[in-house]
Amino acid sequence: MELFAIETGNFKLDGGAMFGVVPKVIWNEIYPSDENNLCNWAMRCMLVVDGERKILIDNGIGDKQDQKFLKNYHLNGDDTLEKSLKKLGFSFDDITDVILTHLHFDHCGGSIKYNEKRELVPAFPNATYHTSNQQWEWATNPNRREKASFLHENIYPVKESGQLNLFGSDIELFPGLFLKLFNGHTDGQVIPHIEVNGKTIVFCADLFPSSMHIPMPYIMAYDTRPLITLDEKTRFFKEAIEKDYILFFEHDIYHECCNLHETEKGVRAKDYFTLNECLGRF
Amino acid sequence: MELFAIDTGIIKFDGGSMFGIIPKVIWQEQYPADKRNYSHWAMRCLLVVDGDRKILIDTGIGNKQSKNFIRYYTEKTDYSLQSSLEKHGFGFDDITDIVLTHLHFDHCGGCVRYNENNEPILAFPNATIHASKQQLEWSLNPNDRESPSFLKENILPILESGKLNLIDKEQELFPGFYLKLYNGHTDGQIIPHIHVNDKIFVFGADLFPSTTHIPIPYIMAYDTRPLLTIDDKKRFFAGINLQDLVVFFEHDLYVECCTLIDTDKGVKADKTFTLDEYFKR
Repeated sequence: MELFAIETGNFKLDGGAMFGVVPKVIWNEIYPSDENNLCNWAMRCMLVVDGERKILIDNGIGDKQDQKFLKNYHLNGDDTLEKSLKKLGFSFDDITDVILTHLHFDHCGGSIKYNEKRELVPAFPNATYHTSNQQWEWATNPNRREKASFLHENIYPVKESGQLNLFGSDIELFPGLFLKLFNGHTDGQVIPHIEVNGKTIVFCADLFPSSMHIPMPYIMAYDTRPLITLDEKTRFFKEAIEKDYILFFEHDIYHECCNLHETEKGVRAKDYFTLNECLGRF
Repeated sequence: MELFAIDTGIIKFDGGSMFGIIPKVIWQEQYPADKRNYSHWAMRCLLVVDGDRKILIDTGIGNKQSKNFIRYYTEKTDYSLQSSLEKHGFGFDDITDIVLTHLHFDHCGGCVRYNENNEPILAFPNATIHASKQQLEWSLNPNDRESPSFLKENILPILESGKLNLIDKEQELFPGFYLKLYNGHTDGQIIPHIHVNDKIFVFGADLFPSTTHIPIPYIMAYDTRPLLTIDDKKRFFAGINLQDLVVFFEHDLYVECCTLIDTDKGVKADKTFTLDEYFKR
């Protein structure tokens, strides 16, 4: 099994919203914002290659939104989903499986594209799309707070294509690829845990959007159930320290991966590295 | 029944924390922040005088915290709980009832003070203290997120005083003085509704900390259950005739009271005024 980081571009979100109850005087030292209080965030997906199987975890914001939408989120950077896949010798047609951690537009926007007739079609024609039942229900009956993140054009065409596979509990989707469900950020967020070369690499999605979000109080204001996020972090840390998990960050523009250690102040990042470094590819 | 605003001081909270998912480019147009991103918030309590009954709703941060704590959280003012009560001719001894909306330190800190022997005692010797059972239990078994807001020196002396009246459901505590419970910000937050003449004065506490927080998406990052806050706000507006309402803001430094208006974009603040203006004092 081989794992690759797939950069799909960066976007900007308000730092206050990203750091919740943590005051700016503290977060700005470590994750600086621009003059409009916006911080720059990666949309870093992961490609898992296991023989014939090519699994993509999340797929960024995509390119089908209008200019106004994309401008609102200040898309930047040279990387795109297509370019990053190509660099590794893969195309959209090669992907056999897409795992969607959840259905917010910055995670699943690349799932669907417009064809020449301007119809919405799956961007990965040969892939099965996997996400949780709970998240599907939540996204198709959204609460007022998350409504703006669940875009119709990202979600319904996946089901209409017949390529959707929903699951309802923690599962081993493929040998060594475990999907675990978390509910604090949004209902039924899928957190993939991948066992490779005796290591467990965790695709953190919005459970830990960045390495900054490791300390307990750092919970996004976007989280729908912050008290549950607290419980989930506690539960996750226990396992992560015990099994020496490697955390892979989707949104951290500065750090791709880190491991964890216990300190007097609680669990913190220990060493930072890239996925290539961690897997011994230089 | 007469109502008086009792300003007890100014507290500083990060604007990002106060406005949750709302980006600063939007909230700063409505509520300013200083260079360090701190906004200044009132700790404005409400005194309700009904004959011999003198009810104080919330008590501010108090004066028993350390210098560092006070320097970190507050801005100096030339008024205090004591001076604001005196301005209207009242002292701590006159208060017969305290209603604590919840037990975060910026709401209940003034209830307890230290005596000459540095022992914690009730600052209002003749008052019964009303709080919700749900909130008391929540504060005694705090989650990690709220535990820094529940200070044992604020809560335990009240508990041990024998003056605590716990309520566990919505009720008319005194004639025309209703207590309603909301759970989004913290468990069992009390929102007093006071009927005066043909109006209902609502003490906004942390359900509506400021005028800016009236629209549904404006929810503090501090709220423990933001999805419940959405329901709370909907429930609040659903059960009530908007024209009858005056909202009194505990934390809005710039606006003491407002009426509400329904617009295509939802409910918003309409006319703003002080209690003194409203009661033509």
